[in-house]
Amino acid sequence: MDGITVLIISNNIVLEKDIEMSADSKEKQLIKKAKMGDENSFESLILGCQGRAYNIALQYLKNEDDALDALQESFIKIFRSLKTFNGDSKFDTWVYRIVVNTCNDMLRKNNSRKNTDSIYWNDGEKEAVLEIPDSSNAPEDLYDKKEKRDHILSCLEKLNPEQKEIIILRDIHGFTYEEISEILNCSIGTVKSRINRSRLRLRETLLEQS
Amino acid sequence: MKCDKTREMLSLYIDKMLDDNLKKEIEEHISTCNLCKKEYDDIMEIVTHLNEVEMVSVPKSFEHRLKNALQHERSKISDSKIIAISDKKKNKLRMLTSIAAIFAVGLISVGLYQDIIGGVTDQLDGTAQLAQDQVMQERVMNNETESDLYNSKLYKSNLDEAIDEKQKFEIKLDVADDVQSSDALKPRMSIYGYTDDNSEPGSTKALVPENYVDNPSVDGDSDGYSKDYSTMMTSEEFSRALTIQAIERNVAAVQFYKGLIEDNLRDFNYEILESDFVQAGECRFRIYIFNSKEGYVFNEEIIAIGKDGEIEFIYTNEFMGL
Repeated sequence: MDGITVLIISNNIVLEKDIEMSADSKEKQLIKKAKMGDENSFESLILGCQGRAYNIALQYLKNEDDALDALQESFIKIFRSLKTFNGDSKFDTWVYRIVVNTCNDMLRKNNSRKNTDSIYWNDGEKEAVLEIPDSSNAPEDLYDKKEKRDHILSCLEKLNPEQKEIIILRDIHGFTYEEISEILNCSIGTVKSRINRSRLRLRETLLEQS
Repeated sequence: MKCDKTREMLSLYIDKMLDDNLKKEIEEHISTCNLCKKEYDDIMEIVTHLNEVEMVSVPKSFEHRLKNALQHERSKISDSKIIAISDKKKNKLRMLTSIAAIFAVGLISVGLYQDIIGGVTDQLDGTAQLAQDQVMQERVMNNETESDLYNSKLYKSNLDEAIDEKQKFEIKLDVADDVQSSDALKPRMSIYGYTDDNSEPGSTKALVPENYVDNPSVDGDSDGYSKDYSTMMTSEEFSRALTIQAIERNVAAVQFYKGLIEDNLRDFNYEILESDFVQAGECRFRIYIFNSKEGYVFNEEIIAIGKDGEIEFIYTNEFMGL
């Protein structure tokens, strides 16, 4: 009986590994086909990361139309440059990197329009760029979970773009430090210090708004 | 551990990125420092709330919108491919035309060269024949013996003239090896042996004109021919012209393959480090790829081989899709 149990356990381990490997090789197959111009393969690849990519764009741009524009632009860029994808990083990490870059480009373009909803502060040692009263009214009685979360999100908007983006990637989307370093194209050391500084800054902002 | 150090490592502690020793030190500090404990609790609460932010689903209309955009993009790419192919065809046609033109020039030059040689040889043969005819006439008229005929001044001067011309022409063609040509010429000339007026009767000597090695065009009698030869293309000039044509053809091929490389690597920032023309119509290029225009850094060197109007990339990563 023991022998059979061991066999079943080892079979399960092998099965899990097989599933992982087949998922990985399936993705590679899709990438290969998509590079050769297969439309369905490209759409399958995109579909796998579309939801998260949209939410990242939404949290960066705070506007559904802009987020959809950024998503479409990102996917077109991915379609054009798929042949340059060399497999050094995971495919979805590469996709999120392009989405983040597209969003940052749009923010830079929109910055000249002075969108009053995207006001932020710089670090304590730097001078504040612009300060506008919180449109969410910061109600003291917002203690239930959802309201508390919304309050945190509104304070997140007051951080500078670099601090905001690293909180979005780490705390909202749960990317690892390594993944963030790939998405933002910076070192792990930079990621570590930016995450810590951004969280401390967000806490200060919350305290100031309370 | 002090408060500053704890503050620095708070996020790494929350994200479980510290080794056991540091983790223990922070736990000990937090348990004794109220300020750091408060900071830790606040950040933990923020992180927990942010972890629970709900994801919004993509509007259904986006699927249709993306399909249209991708379709548009595909048609743009296929259009640009058609343009690239027609450019390629144009380039090929241009190269073929150049090669044909060079070939035609070569043929004409060779034809012209052979015409001139043929003409001169005919003229020289004609002169020699004339001299022989004259001698034969004299012989008939004067009933002289054959040995007397060979000693006659007329024969000598006519034959001399003819040989001089022929000799000069051959020297023109073999400028490089004077000594060899003169050695080779001597036995050939010796068949035209004659008895000099000033020498003893009956003695013969090889006919080697005094001026043929040093300066073959000085002879006043052959001025007419000398002028004609000077306008002709010598073998040296001819080979130089062929070399120039070959260089021009190589330069044209390198340019053509550079165009193909530009087509293929239009999504990359790159630099052609070196281009060589290898034998058998092959061009070899060393190319350094810095990054893709999308921002991916490669910093890799690749080799491109241009042959038969096609370009082939080697030493590339399969994922670069080249």
